Amino acid sequence: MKFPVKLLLLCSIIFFATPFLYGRALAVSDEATINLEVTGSCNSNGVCESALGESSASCSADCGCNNDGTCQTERGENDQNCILDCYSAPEDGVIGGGGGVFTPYIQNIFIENVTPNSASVSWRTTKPAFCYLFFGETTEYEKETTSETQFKIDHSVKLTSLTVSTVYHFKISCNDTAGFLAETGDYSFGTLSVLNNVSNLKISIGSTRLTLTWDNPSDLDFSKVRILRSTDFYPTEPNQGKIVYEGDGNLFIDTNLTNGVKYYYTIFTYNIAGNHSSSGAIVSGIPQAEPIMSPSTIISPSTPPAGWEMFFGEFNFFVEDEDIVWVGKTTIKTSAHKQLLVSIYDRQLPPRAKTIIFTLEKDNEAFSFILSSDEAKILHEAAIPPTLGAGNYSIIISIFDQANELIGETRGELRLGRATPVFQFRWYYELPIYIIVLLIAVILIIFGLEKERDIFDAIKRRKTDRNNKI
Amino acid sequence: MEFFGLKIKTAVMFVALVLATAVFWGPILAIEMQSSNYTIQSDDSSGAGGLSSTVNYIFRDTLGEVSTGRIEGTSYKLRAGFQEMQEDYLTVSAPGDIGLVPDIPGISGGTADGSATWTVISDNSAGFNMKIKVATDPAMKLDGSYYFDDFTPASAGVPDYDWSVASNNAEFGFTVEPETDGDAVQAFLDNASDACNQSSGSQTINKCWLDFNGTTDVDIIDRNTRTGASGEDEVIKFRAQSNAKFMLEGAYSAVTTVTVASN
Repeated sequence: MKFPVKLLLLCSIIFFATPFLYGRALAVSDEATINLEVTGSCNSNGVCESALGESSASCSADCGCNNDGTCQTERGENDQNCILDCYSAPEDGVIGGGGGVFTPYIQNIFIENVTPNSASVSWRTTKPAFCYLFFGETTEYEKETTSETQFKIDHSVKLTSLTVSTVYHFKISCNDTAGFLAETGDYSFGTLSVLNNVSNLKISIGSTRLTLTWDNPSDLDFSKVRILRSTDFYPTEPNQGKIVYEGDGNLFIDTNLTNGVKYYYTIFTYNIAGNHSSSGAIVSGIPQAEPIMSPSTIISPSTPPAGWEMFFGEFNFFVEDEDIVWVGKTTIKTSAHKQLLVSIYDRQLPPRAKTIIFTLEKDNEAFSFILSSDEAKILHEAAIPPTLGAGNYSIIISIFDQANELIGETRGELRLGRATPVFQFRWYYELPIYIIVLLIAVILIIFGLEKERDIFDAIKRRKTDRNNKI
Repeated sequence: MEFFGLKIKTAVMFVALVLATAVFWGPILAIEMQSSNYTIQSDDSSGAGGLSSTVNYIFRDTLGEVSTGRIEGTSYKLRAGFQEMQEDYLTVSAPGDIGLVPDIPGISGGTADGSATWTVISDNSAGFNMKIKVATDPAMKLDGSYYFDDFTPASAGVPDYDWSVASNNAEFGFTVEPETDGDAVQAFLDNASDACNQSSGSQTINKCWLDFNGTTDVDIIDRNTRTGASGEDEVIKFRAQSNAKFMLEGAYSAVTTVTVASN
């Protein structure tokens, strides 16, 4: 009998597996979902919770200024970041009823884009307001301009048709929707001067003498130049330093000087009305035994101290009837033979700044001009004469403090292209010509008509003669 | 002569072995008794059978009983007759969805907690075991790009006594707190000080955190006795934390499934 090994094995498996299978139960629960909400760092509860990652950038519902008229410290509002809600106007800055936070307050008054004939004034009110700007050449504000036609917070008005090189005064008066009034004190600014400086100023050095040469401006109203000298630094006003020359010449020899001493000269120009240029052309030299010819003085004798940075783009450049094109941040392009006005607002200068010198360099020649402050002490400006030909010029703008120490410097480039001829109707030139042409035309027409009548008469006579013969 | 393809002798031997198996294991597995050494799973009140006892055991048995079915009330469950008692009864409740609170700010981060209770009823004298798994790896996700990593204990598979998430990390994990402390598997038993996975440890609230093992079951409870009629409430706690890791805002979720098997 064959022993059923396979069967025995199968049965053994069943036998021993039985206890493991016998009565064993399994239960599986339904799926349970675990949910978690991740918020976008803003729970919109009106409280700015930085600990939860809320910020004015990510959670404007809870953080930052909402200009709703109520100062909410829980939102982080304060009188610095939320003027409309939190600013308490000082009593002496307000004229009229209201008071406290309910009265509009005028602030952030800026005078910008000053040209010889125009300027822009902008300001902000702490509440929507309707404002007037009164201005004139005196504090009587003999002119008036209405800056806007609706209630708003940011205001701006452009004053045009202004007189060159003139100081203007203005004040602003605003009413809010409730009728509360706010008014500023007196503000002033000066328009740019277009009186040109001398050009091509050079100095030649000799023993105990210095010789200055220059080209006078070609302006029809040019009257004279005044040369001022100092051994401290460049005179910045026509009444600073010692007047060493006045006249309409283009050469001055300063004699009896001390060799080895540096002499600073500034030349102001005057027109026939007695006005002087707002800036001056400058040059300096040291007399010495060995005569040399110097094109001019390189102004920057030292490196400005670290920690104060000045940007070329902070300076304003203006050319009448011509666009200034910026190429990058430090290069400007315009046409040659145009007067270039350079200016910078006083508020953009460091507190210690006293003298700003604008220098143009090309082909080892340098011409420097002082940016003089206007009467209102708002703007410093210089007029670069229109004698510069086409080409590329390096610009160096240097700032000196009260001790005449260099405290800032920035550099750029001026690219002058050939001026595009532009037709411009000048009545005082063209109108007489037009009148003459018109008269000639009239004469020719009359003469032509006379001739035509003679011809007609001749034809008529000929016809009459023919008829008589017949 | 063959019977279902087998020779008669072979068939007879097969049947004999099956019967022997049933005869051998059936009484052993079907009857339980209790004293200091024994447990009687059930008894009846019929006249047949009776109580037998020695110094070492008390034995109540019966003979010839028929199954009479089940009766349930609010406070009791009766399975009448031995035949009913031979079925292993095991249930596990469904806890419903779990919400972790509070919300976690997406930029600064934060910690959110939640828990759920699974009630297990088992009449198996050897108790039951419970495992948990999740549907995805990692478990807590918004989408494929934004998710909480599974918790990273210092030693893989061994819970950390304290919950901790490194800066610029976001993690999700769990711990278990059974109704009967000792029912937790050893991994979740601690020394009440600083370590888990203690063989004779105890349970401390909010300690011993572990990660999910992807979609693979993780042992969490191993109970070796039957439960009461109301079962055992087994609590599993979940925790998510973002330690200043940027998490895109939205509804993150993890799907978990608990499996209970009688021992």
